[in-house]
Amino acid sequence: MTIHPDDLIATYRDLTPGERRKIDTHLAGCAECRARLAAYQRQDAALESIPKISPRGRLRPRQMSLPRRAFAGLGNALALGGLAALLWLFSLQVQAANQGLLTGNGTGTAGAVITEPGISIPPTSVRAPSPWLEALPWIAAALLLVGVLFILSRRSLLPTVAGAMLSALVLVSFVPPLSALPNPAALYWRVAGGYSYDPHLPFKNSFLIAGRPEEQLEPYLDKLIGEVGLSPLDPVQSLARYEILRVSLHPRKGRTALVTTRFIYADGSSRIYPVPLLGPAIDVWGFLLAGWRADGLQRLRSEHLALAGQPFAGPGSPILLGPARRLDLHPAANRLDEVNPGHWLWSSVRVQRLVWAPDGRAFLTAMESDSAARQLWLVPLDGSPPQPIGPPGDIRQYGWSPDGHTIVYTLLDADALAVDSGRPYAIMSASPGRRDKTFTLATALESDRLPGLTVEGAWFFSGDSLWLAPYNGNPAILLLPNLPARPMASSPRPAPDGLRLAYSCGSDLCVLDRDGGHPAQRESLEASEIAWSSDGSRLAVIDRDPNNLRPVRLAILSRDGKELLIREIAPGEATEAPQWTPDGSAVFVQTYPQDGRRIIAVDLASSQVLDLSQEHWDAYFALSPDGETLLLNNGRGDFWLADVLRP
Amino acid sequence: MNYLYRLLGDSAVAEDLAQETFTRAWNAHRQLPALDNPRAWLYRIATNAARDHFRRARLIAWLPLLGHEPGLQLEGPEEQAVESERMRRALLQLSPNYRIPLVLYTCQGFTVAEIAGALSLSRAAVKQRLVRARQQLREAFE
Repeated sequence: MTIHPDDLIATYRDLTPGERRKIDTHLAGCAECRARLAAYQRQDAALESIPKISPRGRLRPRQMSLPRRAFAGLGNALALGGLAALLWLFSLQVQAANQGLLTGNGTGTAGAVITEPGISIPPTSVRAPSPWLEALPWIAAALLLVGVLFILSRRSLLPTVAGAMLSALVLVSFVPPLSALPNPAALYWRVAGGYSYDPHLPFKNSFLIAGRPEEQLEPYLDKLIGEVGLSPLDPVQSLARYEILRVSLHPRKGRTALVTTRFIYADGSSRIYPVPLLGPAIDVWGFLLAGWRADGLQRLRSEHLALAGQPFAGPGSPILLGPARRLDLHPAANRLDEVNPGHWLWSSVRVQRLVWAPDGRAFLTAMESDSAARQLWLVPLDGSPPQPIGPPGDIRQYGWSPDGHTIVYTLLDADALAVDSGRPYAIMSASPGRRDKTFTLATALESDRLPGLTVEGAWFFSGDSLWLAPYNGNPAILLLPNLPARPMASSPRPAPDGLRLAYSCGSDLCVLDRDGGHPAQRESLEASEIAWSSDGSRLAVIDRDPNNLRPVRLAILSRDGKELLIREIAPGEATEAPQWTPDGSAVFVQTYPQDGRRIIAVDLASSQVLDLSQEHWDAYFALSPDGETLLLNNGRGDFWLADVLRP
Repeated sequence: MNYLYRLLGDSAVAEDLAQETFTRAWNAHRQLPALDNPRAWLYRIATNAARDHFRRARLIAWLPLLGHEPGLQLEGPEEQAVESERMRRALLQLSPNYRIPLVLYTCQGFTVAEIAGALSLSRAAVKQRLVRARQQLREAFE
């Protein structure tokens, strides 16, 4: 059998001399192999005859392109930068958590994890930090992902361009000084509201807040170190130090900055308050806010001096106040007044008025979220959540029926205003048990003053007639037509027995029986507020010149209008209605001299006028139904109690 | 590039892979010591690029038959062009394992030793593949 060396024939061109001799010998005697070799040689020729091609252009190595090399480096930088940012944010988070900086609000021990759950009503709660802060780790992760994707692909510029745009957006939104440039994030927060930043982190949108509100506030906070008072101070424990946790723009009032600060007291306890800064000097359509001209602490910095004729109560005074103690209310109730940072500053006299329920188990207060948008709240003292009463509106005054079953309030009625701008007010009623169900007792009234509240219903004036509106919304009953003197934008004040009433008639005080008998007119007594003693034997009347041309006086009159006592209680300005102690031995009056908030008590036995307010209180008050306690609030969060002491 | 064109039968792909080859060579040469046979090394890169291309594209050569024409009768230029095209199509029907050493040997003038070095094969294996490549090509051509 003949062996044909196919491998040598197939590689005939590339044989060693020995192989060549061997195959040539074989070929000489093998026609089949000679034919195969010839076929292979034709095959080679045919293969070589396949047309050659030329490149259409010069071949250029793609990686030589400078932009591609730069972007390749950018991909690496993105990945490394994203990784570094993630690690850095993680370490910051751990550090902040260890220091208790990013935890909740409320009371507790400094440095510990502090929680005060359930604060949902106030929009300025520090429990809701900027979502962008929480988003930062995700942004860093996105950078890392884009970088890794780019490194893996190296073919498309799209991930790199997207990553670069994302990086630029992050830089211009969060990192000063680049974030001082106009940026879409600032526009977003300007529209959506609620921007906030952590002053301990380097992130800040400087186009939205150019300055450093916390640095502006720190000198004022320093001045409060060692002081006692009401919120944000403590009445017993002096302020030891403070920590600024967060700076934000108010969610709805975009030109108000809130510096959320933990106040730490001498015993180590702490509370968190959002201290407002108002009136930015630099303000271009709500951007570049800086140079705040007012701050929430300025009223606490003013010197607390006794006014002429109203000395501070002290040892030996017939009336004293015990130390204030914080009311243990529902957390949301403690922060009700956070809806309006203006409460820290404004001397608005009616909005924060506190009104005890007759049974002493709850109180009413109204908080103003926006101009003419006030919500009436029922705040139980047992720690249950505060309850809104009726819808928000332009609520003016509010009170309780004597039996405590009905809440009555007055408001500006838009419908009545549209009909007659001179008679725009309405009287509403609501039940604490069914607070969403309200009745309109009367409307198209001249006065926004609280009507006289009796067991039968609400007494009010319409024209020169006296009417009684039942609390259940039934039609009002005419009690007394053709009053002897026309009431001037006032409201009747019925005696507790319902048989006699007093009211302001021009610059005088008018007193008469329910049936119109025994009228008396006390001249030159501009009765801005009137209150009967609980036994109905006396009247306390605030005599105030609307033009502030003379001091405010408190007049005590007999049931038939005879003057028993007159004392000056304030140099001027508005006052609240007098509040009698149940035994009739003293009258308490809230006064507002020159933007201050004073607690004036008149001891009727000694005829002494005493100022019970204390430094750094700046508080509104309401005397409890039993006359033994004052409920206090200064518009800065929290409610307080102080016992009335009668040595 | 012509090597790749013969392997792949597509001038655009060949051009692209030639560029890819040079890109890979450029990236790699800075990290390598001096090469004994740069030519073989470059062809090896080109071969790998072609193999990657085969894998990516799962290239299936579907070639219409031009009709059976016996033997090589090289006469005028027109007949030569027809024969060259038939040979190109026949070559594309070979599997890459046979096509690559055959093109290196016949078209690029590689020796058996050079092919063995470029493809990481033994000389015997290269000879074996060349034998089978020639047989398959003859069958495909006829």
